[in-house]
Amino acid sequence: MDELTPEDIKAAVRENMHLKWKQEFQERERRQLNTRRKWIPWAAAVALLVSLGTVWFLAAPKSEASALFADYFEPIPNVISPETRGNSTENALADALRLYDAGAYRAAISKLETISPENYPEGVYLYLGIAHLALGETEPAKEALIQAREGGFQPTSMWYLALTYLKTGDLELSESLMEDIVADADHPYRTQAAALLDDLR
Amino acid sequence: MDGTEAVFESIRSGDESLIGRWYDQYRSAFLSWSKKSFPLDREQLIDIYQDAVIILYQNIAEGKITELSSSIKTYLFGIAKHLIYKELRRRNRNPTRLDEIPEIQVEAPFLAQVERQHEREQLREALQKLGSPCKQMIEYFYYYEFSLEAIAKRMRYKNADTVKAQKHRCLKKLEQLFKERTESYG
Repeated sequence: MDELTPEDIKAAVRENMHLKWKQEFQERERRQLNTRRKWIPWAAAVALLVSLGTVWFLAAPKSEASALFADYFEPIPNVISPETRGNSTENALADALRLYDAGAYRAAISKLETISPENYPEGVYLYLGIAHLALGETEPAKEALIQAREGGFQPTSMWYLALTYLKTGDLELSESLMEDIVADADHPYRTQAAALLDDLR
Repeated sequence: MDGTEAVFESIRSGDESLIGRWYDQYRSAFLSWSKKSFPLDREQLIDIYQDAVIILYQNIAEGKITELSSSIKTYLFGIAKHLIYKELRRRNRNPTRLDEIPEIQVEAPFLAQVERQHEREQLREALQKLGSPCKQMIEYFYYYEFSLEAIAKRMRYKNADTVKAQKHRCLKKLEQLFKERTESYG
């Protein structure tokens, strides 16, 4: 191989991607085989606080938090149904939400980026955040979900923000949000938050 | 744009989230079907299923499949069946006598093929060592075949010229890593 050709490089990228996904799937299979473990202290990163009967558990390894994230993260279907009219913004929005519902998150985000955020109806930031989170893009997910909290989709965006913090390993922030969710008797994600807190502890 | 078209566009634009969803979505159905139909154990079938999902995904990403005449599930199971038959054929190649083993002629084309395979392995490993942002940029340019403008937008570079310059540096780095690996392995 005297000179690297584009075909050589493409083949190498293809093989690496195959290996990467193979490892990811093998990891999924291993997780399915294991029973849900309790978190155990790690000597290198222990900080145990006991306060008023509440026990704060140790910072779990980031890989364990990621595994829990994968177990609990499920994009919700879009409930905004913008009609397709002559207006290009509304059409772009309708297209974006259709792409979101089809699981085409990258395309949905690209479509939303063609619309000025001033024209976003309520709830769009929530789906934008979830789309970014589905792609593993935690920073833009956080920004969008924090915006979403300002509007009427606040309870749902709280849950996804808690999941975002879980994914980034910010367990204190994640737990704090989940405790707020559990404390709200009417919260739509109360059961899931309680189960996740239980798994974390 | 219908759902399938949207999915294809998403995959071709580098969205990797769908591969995990497909994996989970069709896994149980595949295992139920394949365990009844083929003499392979569960682990072997899972291994084949993993390869089938990746192959389907990559064929869409590389534009080798541009539309579906049937469902994702049908395509996926079809690829898996092909891999299962390949595995079963491989197992059935079982010479019982030494004089039945054909003498391998070590010809130049064969040697060249082995050498090329070895070099491909070295290139693959060199690519792994590249690190950010080069690994991602190389992937976008050579695998997904994004334009320089699209890469600039995706990776937040100033413009296409900046990407071009960075890509050039990345290629030089890759060539260097590849050269080091091939020289150290002789």
